[in-house]
Amino acid sequence: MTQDALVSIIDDDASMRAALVGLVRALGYRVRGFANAEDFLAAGGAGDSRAIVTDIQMPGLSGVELAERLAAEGCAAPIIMITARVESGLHERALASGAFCVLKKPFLAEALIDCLERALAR
Amino acid sequence: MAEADHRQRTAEDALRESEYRYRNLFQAMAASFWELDFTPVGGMLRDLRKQGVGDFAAYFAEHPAFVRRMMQATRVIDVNDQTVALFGDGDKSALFQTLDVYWPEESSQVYADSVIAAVSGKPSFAAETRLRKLNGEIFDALFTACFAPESVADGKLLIGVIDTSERVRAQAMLRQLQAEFAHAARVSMLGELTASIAHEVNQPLAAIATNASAGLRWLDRAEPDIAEVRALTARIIADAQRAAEVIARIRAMASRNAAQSAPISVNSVVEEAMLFLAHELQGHEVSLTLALGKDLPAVMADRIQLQQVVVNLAVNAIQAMTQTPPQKRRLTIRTRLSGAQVCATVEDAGPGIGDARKERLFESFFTTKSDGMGMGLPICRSIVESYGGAIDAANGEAGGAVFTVALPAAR
Repeated sequence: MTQDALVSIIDDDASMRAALVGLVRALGYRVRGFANAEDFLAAGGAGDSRAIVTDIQMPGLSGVELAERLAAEGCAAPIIMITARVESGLHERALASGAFCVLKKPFLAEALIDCLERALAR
Repeated sequence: MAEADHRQRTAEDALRESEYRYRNLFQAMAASFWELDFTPVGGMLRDLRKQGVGDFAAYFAEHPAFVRRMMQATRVIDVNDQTVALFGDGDKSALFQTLDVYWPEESSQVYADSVIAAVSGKPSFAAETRLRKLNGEIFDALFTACFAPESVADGKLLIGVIDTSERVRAQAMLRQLQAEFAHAARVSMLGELTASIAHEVNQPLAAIATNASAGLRWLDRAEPDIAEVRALTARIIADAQRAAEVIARIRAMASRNAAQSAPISVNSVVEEAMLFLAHELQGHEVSLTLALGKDLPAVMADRIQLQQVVVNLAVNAIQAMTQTPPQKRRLTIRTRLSGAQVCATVEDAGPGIGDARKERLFESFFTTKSDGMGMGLPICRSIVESYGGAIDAANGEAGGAVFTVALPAAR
């Protein structure tokens, strides 16, 4: 049943986005990629997605701001956040915004898969 | 009769006195002086004219052996004590040879240029060159020649040589010191950009790891999907290439290579510098505007050093805007041609530069940052000036700081 689940990927880095879309597709889920949070919101992604994987630092709305916005709108889809940043406090801020889990790039694909499967099983 | 006799004696006295003064001057000057007899060279040049050679410069350039023969036909007939001390080993007569002995091959062009200056009626000639002592040692020298009409008609030439090896050595040392300072400043600048650099390297690495995992999943299926794996593998190669490019950029910036002056495009230097700062800009929520002039001439400079100047000014601009509201943070870089100079301006939307600071901005160790060494702007200035340019700071119409780098357009 979860195999029909739609997973949304939001990352402004084209090659990272393509890699994430490819991995989630290899897992057998339906998947859509967005270059930024605004595109995702405009496409109504929040309503369809069973899980959201988003980068934190992006031009425009950040991943954390997106999570806050979705929480305010009552969207219950679990959000997995990824970041290449190393600054302190970021992890805590991400969790505080309601992230299901936070991964630091480069991460093991296994870690993402584990997060995603737990998120979809929720 | 007695009066004529007296007049004759007075004229001879005057001539003797003048000759005496000239000899004294010749001997007493701190510079090395030479009297040369170039009579045969005059004949060689006349022969060339007869053969129809009109452009001596072109002929000399094509016939280096002829230039050498002219030197061999130029004899030293007198030198002063300073010359003996500089070129010889105490024996003045040992110096009375032909000029080619003192003129290494690498300096032939300077000799050729001086001959051209003489035949084109110039009163004098001066050039920096390298000359050879009797013991074979080659040294840096300033060479001057005076073409007084009466002595030239006589086949005589007075030349002066000043030993500039100490000065040239000091300049070389200064250049090396400057290059080392510039290098140290680059390394420290890279240190400030560590977070951005880590991000830039991490990004393709994360993509590679993710693509590889996806590939394994396609292979592990009951029916492995080779087409999917092939597509993923191609992406991995592209991402690895991207990571390698980031590393190459950083390695070039960290390199200690001697600065090399070459014709470079200011626009491409600006664009490369911005590749360094893409994440720094994003991280500080600064938007970038590039207004690069079209068809700008190249400038003569070292690419990495000029990149360093642009990155340094841009980092300063980003840091100047930390108190500016995010929606107003804008870095604007413009390039344009202004007269015979290519100008690049780096403009921020920060508070601008206070009058008290403006004067001292380019002084070493002057900084308003708590963690800075204050070497950034002085290094920028020394780099820009070493290529004949200038750097200037002012406040823009909107109040932010505007730094202008002007470099002479390459001909």
